[in-house]
Amino acid sequence: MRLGRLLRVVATNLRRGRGNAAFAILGVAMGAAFLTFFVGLGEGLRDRVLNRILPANQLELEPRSVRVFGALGSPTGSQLDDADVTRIASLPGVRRALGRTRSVFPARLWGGKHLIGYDLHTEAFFDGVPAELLRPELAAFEGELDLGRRRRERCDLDDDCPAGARCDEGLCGEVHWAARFDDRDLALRCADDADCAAGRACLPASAPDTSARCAVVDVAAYACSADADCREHERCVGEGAGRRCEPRRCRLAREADARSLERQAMRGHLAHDCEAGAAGCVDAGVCPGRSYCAADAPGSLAGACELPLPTVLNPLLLEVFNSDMAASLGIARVAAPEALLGVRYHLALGDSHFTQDAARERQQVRQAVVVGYSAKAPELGVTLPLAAVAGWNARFVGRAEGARYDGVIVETDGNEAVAVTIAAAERSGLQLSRRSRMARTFGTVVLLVYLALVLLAGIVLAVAALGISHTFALLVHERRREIAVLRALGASSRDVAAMVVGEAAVLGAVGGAVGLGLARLGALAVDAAAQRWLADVPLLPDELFVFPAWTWPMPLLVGVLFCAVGASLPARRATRLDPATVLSQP
Amino acid sequence: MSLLVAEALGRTFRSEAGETVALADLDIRIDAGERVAITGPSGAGKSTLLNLLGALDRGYSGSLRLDGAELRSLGERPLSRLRNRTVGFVFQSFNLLPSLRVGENLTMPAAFGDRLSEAEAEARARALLDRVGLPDAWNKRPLELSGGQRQRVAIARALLLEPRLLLCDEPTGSLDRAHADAVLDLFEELAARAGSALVLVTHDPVVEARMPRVLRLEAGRLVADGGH
Repeated sequence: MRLGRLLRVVATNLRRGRGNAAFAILGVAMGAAFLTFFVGLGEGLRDRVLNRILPANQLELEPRSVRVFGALGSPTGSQLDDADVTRIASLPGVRRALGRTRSVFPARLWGGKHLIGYDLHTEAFFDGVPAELLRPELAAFEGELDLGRRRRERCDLDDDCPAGARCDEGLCGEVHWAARFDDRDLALRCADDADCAAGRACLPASAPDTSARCAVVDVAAYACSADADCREHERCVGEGAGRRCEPRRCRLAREADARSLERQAMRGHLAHDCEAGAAGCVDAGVCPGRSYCAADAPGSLAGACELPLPTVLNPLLLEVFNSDMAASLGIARVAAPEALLGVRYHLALGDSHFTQDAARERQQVRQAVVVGYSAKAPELGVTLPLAAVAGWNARFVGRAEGARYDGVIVETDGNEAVAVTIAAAERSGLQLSRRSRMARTFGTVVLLVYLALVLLAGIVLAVAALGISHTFALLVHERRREIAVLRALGASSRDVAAMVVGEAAVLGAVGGAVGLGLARLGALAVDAAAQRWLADVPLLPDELFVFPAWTWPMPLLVGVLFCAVGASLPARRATRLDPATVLSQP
Repeated sequence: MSLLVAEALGRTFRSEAGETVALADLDIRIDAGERVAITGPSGAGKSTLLNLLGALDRGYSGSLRLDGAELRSLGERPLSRLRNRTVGFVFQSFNLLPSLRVGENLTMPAAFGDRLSEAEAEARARALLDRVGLPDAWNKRPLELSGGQRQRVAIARALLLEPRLLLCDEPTGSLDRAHADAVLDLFEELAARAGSALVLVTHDPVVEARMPRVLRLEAGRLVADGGH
């Protein structure tokens, strides 16, 4: 039977059976709505919550630990080195392996006065991760934030713009925070190689007005031929092929300026052959651009121009602050994640509220700036480029500390390779980190709940299909004479089946479309309710639901499938009607 | 070659109550263009024979060949195709589909085959509707028509694909004499134009008298086969 004719017959039959059709559509619509709603919720939980904790194809491995008399230890050693990272990178299914390290030196931080009215002080814990690992994620997160409006605000001075942005022809320049999470901009001060991580050299100052620093990236990255090749707070110094960018020396006016975020005070004065302010000296200006004058040691006025250390926070930290700390401390909540981008604060390295301080001459006070958010950052800590944490570990604990890793972040070839990689890692004396284990457990729970909800929706659809089957069994019985006539006119059993199943399929498609609409409306309502009543729940995304492209046709296809299956038995009965017998009946 | 050949044709119905022989040992040949009446008392097997001849029922014994094909050996789809292309039915109760308009009823046989496009089917159906005197009935529902008008629509539907065999079950049973004569005239004219063999079951002696050949059944057996 031709499709056009079939559809017309189906449409005619549906018109005359509106009551049955409406009832059948209602059942299918409910099932399709449940299915779409739960799939959207499940996808949302996986994408918006689970993947923010740890992407499915990413693992954190660490040396296996065992409990010995209440303490945890590792039979294979508690730390990893470059050789281990290389070995892990060669495990089956591994696309990339990158070491991460935690700080093992005392430190504290304070800041927030500009944002919440006074400075919060806390002990500081750092995580060091390779900058290249985090930058794509930071960029993706930044892309979701509402930065567009801020990026091009009108301004008269640089101070009118977000931190780091310049006022150019009345408009603030665009800031790409993620790009600032970069090793190259680190200037880890050193006196000799012992201050730097193993394998890293201390590059001595080539001129009296520049400063020595640990080479945290390839030395060639510092090469230059003129000042224009360097950052604005650096100078190109040295001779011939050995010319390289070095941080400019500076001098603070007061000791307190080392702990100030006041624009004029923190930038100091660039150092000269003469003492600042002495008669005959030419004012060479202040640390330029985004840089500030970082004192060599506590109490010292001399220092070098540095960029604030780029730091990354876990979004949960902001959630916890807003949901618990702000209320307890009676301070304002941070309106949105983007409000923290560009916020500067201070780190006191080698200084602690709780433990033994490092020797005072080894201590440093540095500025840091928030440049993004990542779920890979510790919940109650700060993430820095790996070179910074490794360098300070070396400076405060010893060179060897700068070359070890606490764990390895592994990207697998795909989600399918995860199990293989875990098995191989476990055979190599490694285990999943607590965060990875938690993410996998959470992922399993989400998956089980997801499957249970989809199963529930499947049951609703199956019940709807039973209803369809019953409805069509009645219809076939009512129309048996018509079916017999059609057979007499030349309809094959396939034509008859197509008419019955086609009618059910149309009902399924309409029911599926109605279900899709109901599910999307339900999702909007739940999202609105969640934003209104669950705003304080940590990590609650703006939208709980994610509807990938395939979820648009899914309810229609599922509706069609279930209805067609439901109608298949009545259709089979219709094809088995004996036209001669039926037509002989009065 | 005869259009329809039945040899030792029989039909037995089986039920819990036992076997009922509806037809037994029939030898019939019907040629293209031939006009045949099947008569007999109630229960003689006339409708059963009509169902067999129209390939609606294949539970027969003996042999039955339509257009050279042994019906029992055909698969379901070829049989449907044969029925669509070769046989036209006019039922006693017309059996128009009440949910469809007259035009849709008329063109329905074309939907199950590939002989006519939709446009061709509509053109031919409209011409047939004109010919049966119902030019304005295209968009009407069957229930809006009188019994005679429905009968004429059923005839037009049966002739749409110009079948080689036109089977009619009591085509004038519900009509008065004048209308019955008109319908028979129409049958004969249209069947002759299409070259169709006309086989009709009737109790009506007037109709029987108009048919050149009469098959008389009694108790499932052919007791007479001939002219008047």
